[in-house]
Amino acid sequence: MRFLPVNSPDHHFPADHHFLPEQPIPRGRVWPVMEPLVNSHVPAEFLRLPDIPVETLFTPDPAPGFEPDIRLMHMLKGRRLLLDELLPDSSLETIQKHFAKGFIRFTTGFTKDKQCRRCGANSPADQALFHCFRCRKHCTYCRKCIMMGRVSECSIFVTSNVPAAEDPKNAAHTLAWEGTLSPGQKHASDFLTNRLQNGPPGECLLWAVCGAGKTEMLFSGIQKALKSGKRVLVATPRSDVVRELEPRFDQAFPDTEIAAFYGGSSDRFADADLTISTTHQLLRFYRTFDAVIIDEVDAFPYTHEPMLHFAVENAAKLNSHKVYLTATPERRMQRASISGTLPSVIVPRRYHGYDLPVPRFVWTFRWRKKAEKQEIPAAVTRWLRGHLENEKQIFLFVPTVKLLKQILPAAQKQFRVPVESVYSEDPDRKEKVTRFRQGKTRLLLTTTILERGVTVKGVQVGVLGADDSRFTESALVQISGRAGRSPDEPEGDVCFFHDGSTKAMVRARQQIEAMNREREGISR
Amino acid sequence: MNWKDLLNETDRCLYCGNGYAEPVSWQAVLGLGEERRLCPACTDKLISIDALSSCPGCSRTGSPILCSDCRAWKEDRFWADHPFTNLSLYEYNSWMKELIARFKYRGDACLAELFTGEIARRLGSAAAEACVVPIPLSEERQYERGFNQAELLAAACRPVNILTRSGQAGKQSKRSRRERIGTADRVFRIDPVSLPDNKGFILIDDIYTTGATIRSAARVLYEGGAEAVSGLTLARA
Repeated sequence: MRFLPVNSPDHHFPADHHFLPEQPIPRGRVWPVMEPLVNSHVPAEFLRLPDIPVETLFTPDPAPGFEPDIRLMHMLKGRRLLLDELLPDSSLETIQKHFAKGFIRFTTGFTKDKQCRRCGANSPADQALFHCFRCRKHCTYCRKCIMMGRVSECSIFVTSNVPAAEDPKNAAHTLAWEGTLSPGQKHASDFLTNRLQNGPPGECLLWAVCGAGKTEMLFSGIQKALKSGKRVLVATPRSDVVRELEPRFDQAFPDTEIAAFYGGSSDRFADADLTISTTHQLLRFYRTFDAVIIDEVDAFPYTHEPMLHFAVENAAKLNSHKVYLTATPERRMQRASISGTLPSVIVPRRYHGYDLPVPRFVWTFRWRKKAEKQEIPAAVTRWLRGHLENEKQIFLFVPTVKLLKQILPAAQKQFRVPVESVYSEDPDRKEKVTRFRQGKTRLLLTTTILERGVTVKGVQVGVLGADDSRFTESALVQISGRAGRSPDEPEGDVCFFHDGSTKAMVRARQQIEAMNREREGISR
Repeated sequence: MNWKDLLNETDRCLYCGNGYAEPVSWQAVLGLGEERRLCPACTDKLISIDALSSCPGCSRTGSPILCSDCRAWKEDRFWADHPFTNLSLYEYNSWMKELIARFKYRGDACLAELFTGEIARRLGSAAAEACVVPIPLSEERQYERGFNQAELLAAACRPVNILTRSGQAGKQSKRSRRERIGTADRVFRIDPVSLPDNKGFILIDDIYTTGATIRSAARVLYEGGAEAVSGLTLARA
């Protein structure tokens, strides 16, 4: 690509690349002329990316009467993409023409203070330098979001310069879900519907205990928002949650277009009224959603990764609704909710109306030493044996993979039932969880990866080494929330085995007890 | 995360980004040790090919005798009297596959730094006597990628670009094995301006799969008057 000042004497365009502006352009501005990036007719001669900063480009107003390329504008709808991402499906000539007619806009890959425009990373640790064949200079690139394709100093982002065409389809967005909401769910659902319809744009929190039935609370609010022509996004840090939510929304909204995005999903450029996505995939979106609902807002890696917050901010419109959905808000968010600075609704009851199981603390002297000797502490063995004799299924959480591997042989030897273990890098992770759900495995040893999203009827929950720093308050509340989820067996034994209780353990128990004291939904 | 762990972790793995503690040793104190830049977990997955238990012609793992591929190459009249051996450093396991995908296709150029030191060390004095030539990319491909991965890998051995590659051939990784070995098209050319005086050449590439690419480049060098050509690749597929 070559960029030339329009009035420069040495510019001579080939006839078919000639798109002169239809209106005079301000002085000091430049007009780009794109030619094939690699000119195969002239060997060893390259047309380089510009030294001229893209900021000084003149973008004209959209020309009336120009028929834009549907495919290109479709890809750019609500997105900001690298020129390289567009090129396989579009040509430089098409892009040039759309630029000349004011339908697209160019921006640099990095801001002036060396921040990646896509993921917001600006620390030198996230950047690297290479000798770039395009700009023939040492070029900085962003390593933080490299898995979405490289953003370097000479990269160009393309965005649409026209408002997205209003969809004429005007679907009815009927809600096919016919269940009934519990009083708590109803309360939260009304709160959300009201907020999305009449409330001022901004953040709010939907704090619903594990097993409250969060997804059902969303349906009515989402339906009303869709009907009023809003673009709605349901985002979550975890791809398995996306895969689980997609069929449920598909059933609930049979005539609404739904697109799901996660690493490895099929259509990267799908466009729909309702989008379900991992927070990572939001990096490609740009100021397009009117309402953003973030499920499991406190889950890893969202809480640890500023990039994902940046992605959500960029994907949402400037004046948009943000709904945080969680059973275990971080302390900062809890405080904001209690003080009233963050509008919020709390659903303290499970949908079946029974109390949450309250964890018991069992002192297990020197459990770590025992585990290192590949032994299961006596208190744990007794507890396990008791439940196994009653034909119960058991989750036993442990803090590390190392510990998991140390005690697995002992567990398999001591109990004459099928015992298995899972951890995040386990290749058979999905199959093992399925076997546990089917009841083929009686005891499942696991790290914190199964702390959310897994529902197994009538399961008992133990945490070996609950005083380990990996078990945070929210992890422990989530883990306790695995028990008693089914209305048939609302009771469940939750047992924390520890060697000196921690603040996190005490706070987790307090949180659960506080929720049990409440009867109805609370909104602040 | 424990604050004590945070204090101990002095280094950050260049590949997975996890923090780790470099073991304290006298070498490190004296500044003799080479910087590893990979965390222990990643180092475990990086598996070197043992020269004693792999094919002497192409480093295929499994058996120390000349493999069937290399014997098939030998049957070719040209290769019967032009010796060519390839040395590959690492096994192309799933970890390496992901690493190379991120390096080449996503364009994470600085991952080459993980290997430049080891490549220079393995070439040793041979690199000083011979001329180190990275396998070139076609201009289209190099523009698309922004860099030539072989050139980055050879960065510590003073690489010389004396070959050029024409663009018609297309991506080697998109072809079947038969197509690759059968491709007789001459994609490489010697750039006559930059020919050095050396008669020995070492070709550098990222992956050796069937050997078609690297041998086709070696053949061009032999035909241009080279006396000895050998190859070194990062991984052996």
